Amino acid sequence: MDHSLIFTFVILWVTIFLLLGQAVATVMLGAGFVGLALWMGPNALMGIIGQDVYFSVSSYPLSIIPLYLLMAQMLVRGRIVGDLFRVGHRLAGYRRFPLGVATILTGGMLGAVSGSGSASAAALARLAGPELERVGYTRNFSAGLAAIAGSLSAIIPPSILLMIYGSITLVPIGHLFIGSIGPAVLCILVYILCLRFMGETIPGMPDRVAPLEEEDPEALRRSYIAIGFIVVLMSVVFGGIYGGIFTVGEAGGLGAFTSLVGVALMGRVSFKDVAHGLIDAAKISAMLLMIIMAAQVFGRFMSISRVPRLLVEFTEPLQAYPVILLIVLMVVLFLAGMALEEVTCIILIIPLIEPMLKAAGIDMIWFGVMACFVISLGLLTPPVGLVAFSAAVAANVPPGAVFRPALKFSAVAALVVVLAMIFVPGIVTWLPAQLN
Amino acid sequence: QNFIISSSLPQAHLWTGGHMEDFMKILGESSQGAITFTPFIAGELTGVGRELDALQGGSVQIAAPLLAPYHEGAFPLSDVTQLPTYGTDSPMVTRAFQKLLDSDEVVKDGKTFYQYEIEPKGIRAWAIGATSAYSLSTAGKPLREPADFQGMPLRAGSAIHTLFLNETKSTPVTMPASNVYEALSRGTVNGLVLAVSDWPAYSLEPLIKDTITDVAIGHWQSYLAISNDAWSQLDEAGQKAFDAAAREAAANNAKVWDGRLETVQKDSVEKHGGKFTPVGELSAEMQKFIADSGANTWKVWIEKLEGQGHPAKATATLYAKIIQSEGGRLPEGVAEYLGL
Amino acid sequence: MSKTPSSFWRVIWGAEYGLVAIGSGLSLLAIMLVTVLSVAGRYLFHTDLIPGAYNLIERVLFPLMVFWALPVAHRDGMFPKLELVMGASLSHRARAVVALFVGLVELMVYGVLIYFIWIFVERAMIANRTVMIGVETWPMWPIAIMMPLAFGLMMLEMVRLIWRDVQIIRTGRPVQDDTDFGPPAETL
Ligand code: NA
Ligand code: NA
Repeated sequence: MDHSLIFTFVILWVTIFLLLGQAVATVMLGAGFVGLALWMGPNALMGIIGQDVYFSVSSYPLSIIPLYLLMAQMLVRGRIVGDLFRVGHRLAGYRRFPLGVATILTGGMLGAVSGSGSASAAALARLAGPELERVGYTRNFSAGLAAIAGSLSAIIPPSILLMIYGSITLVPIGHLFIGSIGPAVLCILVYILCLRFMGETIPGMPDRVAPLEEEDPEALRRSYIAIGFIVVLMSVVFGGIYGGIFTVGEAGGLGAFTSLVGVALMGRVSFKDVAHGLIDAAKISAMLLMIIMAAQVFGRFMSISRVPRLLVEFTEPLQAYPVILLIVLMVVLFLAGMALEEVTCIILIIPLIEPMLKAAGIDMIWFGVMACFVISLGLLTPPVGLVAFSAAVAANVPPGAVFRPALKFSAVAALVVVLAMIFVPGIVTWLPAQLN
Repeated sequence: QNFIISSSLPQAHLWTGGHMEDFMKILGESSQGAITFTPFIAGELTGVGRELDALQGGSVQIAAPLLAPYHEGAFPLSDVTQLPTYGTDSPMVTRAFQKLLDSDEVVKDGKTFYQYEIEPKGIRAWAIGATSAYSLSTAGKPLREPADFQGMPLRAGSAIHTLFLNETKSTPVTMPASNVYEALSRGTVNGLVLAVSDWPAYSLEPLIKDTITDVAIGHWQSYLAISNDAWSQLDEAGQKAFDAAAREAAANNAKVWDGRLETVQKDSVEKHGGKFTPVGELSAEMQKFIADSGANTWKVWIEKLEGQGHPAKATATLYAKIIQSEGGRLPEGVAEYLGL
Repeated sequence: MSKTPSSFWRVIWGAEYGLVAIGSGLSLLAIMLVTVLSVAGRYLFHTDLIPGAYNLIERVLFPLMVFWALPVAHRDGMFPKLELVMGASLSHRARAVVALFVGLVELMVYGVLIYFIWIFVERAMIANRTVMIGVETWPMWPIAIMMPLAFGLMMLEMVRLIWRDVQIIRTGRPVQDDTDFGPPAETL
């Protein structure tokens, strides 16, 4: 069969089955099987499938993922989000803009101990949403802001995307985590500025309201303890990685252990919560690994059809101008992040463009932080913004209403933060360079 | 003919950028363009330790290299070059291993080493350039006395490394070299067994402070392998040219390994304050400890594999004879054990 | 088909839940504890408390955790997919026809997958493939065999969904689907 014909067939397969709603992993497996079998004969699958499935799961770097998921599970099940917001609320003094800022910062803090954003967004939409409405933000914007704040979990390290990027490219994950701190802080600042100028309010609503109920000093005390605990946890994880005391995997293990013991000592979880936390972390990891296995098989087809090499040749004139190449790639990744599920996006695209990046001499830590950042913004954007969806569901508003503010914010962040990272690489590379 | 040739290692590795490219060039020229290649590198097509599956399945026709040591359990006797030796370098081990593959001497049931280890797998194989010596290196506290080994986590790259480290009473941690950087910088391991020439491929130079030289925790060897299916597509002249190219590429590659060793060592000393201590300058007690650990590694390895029914003693004896004839030395006690 | 799941499915789901709850969750707990213990050993006792911890996690605990959790993650519908095009504008029957087609293809894809995985596992058994855990050599097959088990259970669920779609096409009415067994999935 003619090679371009095979290629067309595989692309059609992918498009049709994605649109018909087949699971992304199944689509990639199916397209990979068909492509490889047509290109090399069905026997070639013998040397690919079994080993790719077995060895992609037999991976230490990926075994870190469930540990960070477990850490987040314990905090969600221990209802730490409510404490963070309660304290933020109090500090903001029940005024509009400060409360909005408090929501973003709550999302940011949560992000520093959680790997992905959907749960954060849902919790914030439930807790912060009504309060934001009381101080005059529109209902849709309140849900949107919760989604934006929640999506910070995917941008601020620890992040699952960075772990997967590290496991593909063999860039140390610790360096990626530390390198993401600068852009994450910048992104928070950008969101606060966006809030200042793009906040949607209901005309005539007072900027300041009285607390709904008398504050319970006991609850507040518990909240401060919870926040102190989060700070301790962050210090264990980031201090340990930055101080060279343990690896990212070990930091994940200790973080999970600390959060488990911590929420248990604070009496915030039952035995059942712990068990379900373990199970859910395992299930989510299994789901991610299924995507990774499938993408591995599909990636074999891409390799054998020599797409990465064609890309290197095709972009050769651009390789002397890495900045232009990067801007093009960032636009592509932003669009891909919108259209695809984020993990799929990373795992499909990075192996394709890695040879091209190396040919252009682009630093893989720098690129990884930028790529994961841009792809994470896709969590907020239509058509498959998972974080935006979960905020909309939790706030009981249509997803479209959440997408509007979320898209605006993420577009500004994409523009400002990405350009800043491209033209001032130090934002990413300075901190990791201080490691060791 | 066009062959799919694949390396699971990155371009920067001497077995990809060196041996594989050289082999393709030599054979391309000697066949006057009749044999061409579609190369895949860096695990694009098949990953580390999965090359045999790929050859047998047909997704790859030539593995350059087939990383035998990573095929856990599949090439048990091929690890023989990893047994500790003294005064060996890359060209010596490369020649010795090819001689072992070419040897007519029977190791078991009327079968030569090649017939026992390679033929049943449906492939043909040649030696490639052996790495330079695998050395004991540490990032922090140097190894000076036997007690320094006690409980120290050290990276092992293969089964024989773990046997050797176990003999020293240190704690072997088996991990691929690509994971060593993080582990070493965080103290998950305090040192490693790795070829000095391999350090740059994993950016290890800034981390490693002390290395014991002149004793090899073996040399890594792997195969240039072609599936029988692909081999039968070659005519007699093509097969001859292939064989010659394989041998020439291996010899060239061995020289490159040795050359790289000097550069890396020089860089380490000048730029990163690394120290290289010949084993002969260590205390007598330490020298004896290392030699005993090395000799025990031979014995344990042989007994373990013999226990599994493999002709490890015959193989080790044959290899020991060849390596001695190349000018290498065995740890004290090994010759007696083998009855040499 | 009856409204409540038959005892056959109860047994299958019970087994899956047993695998994921007991096996997978405990594997994750073990990964965490092994990590904590090896760090504690390194800094508090200056010794390696769990020799081969790294290998144990990479080659045994993590693969077990993943393979045991896969069937339940699949059954809980956690695998991401695009859900926009299959619009609500279609009738139950039309939607079931599309779902049936997609499901049959999925079943075939997993059939191919499990066939080649089985060959891999079989070869691993015949060739006595091993994994290195510290200085120990363990056989590979007890881990590898979990792959066909996981994918086999997933295929059973696919068959059940296909049968459900056939019912919908036949009757034109949605079938009561009571798959609620075990705790709900809370995706992060
Ligand atoms: Na995060
Ligand atoms: Na998206």
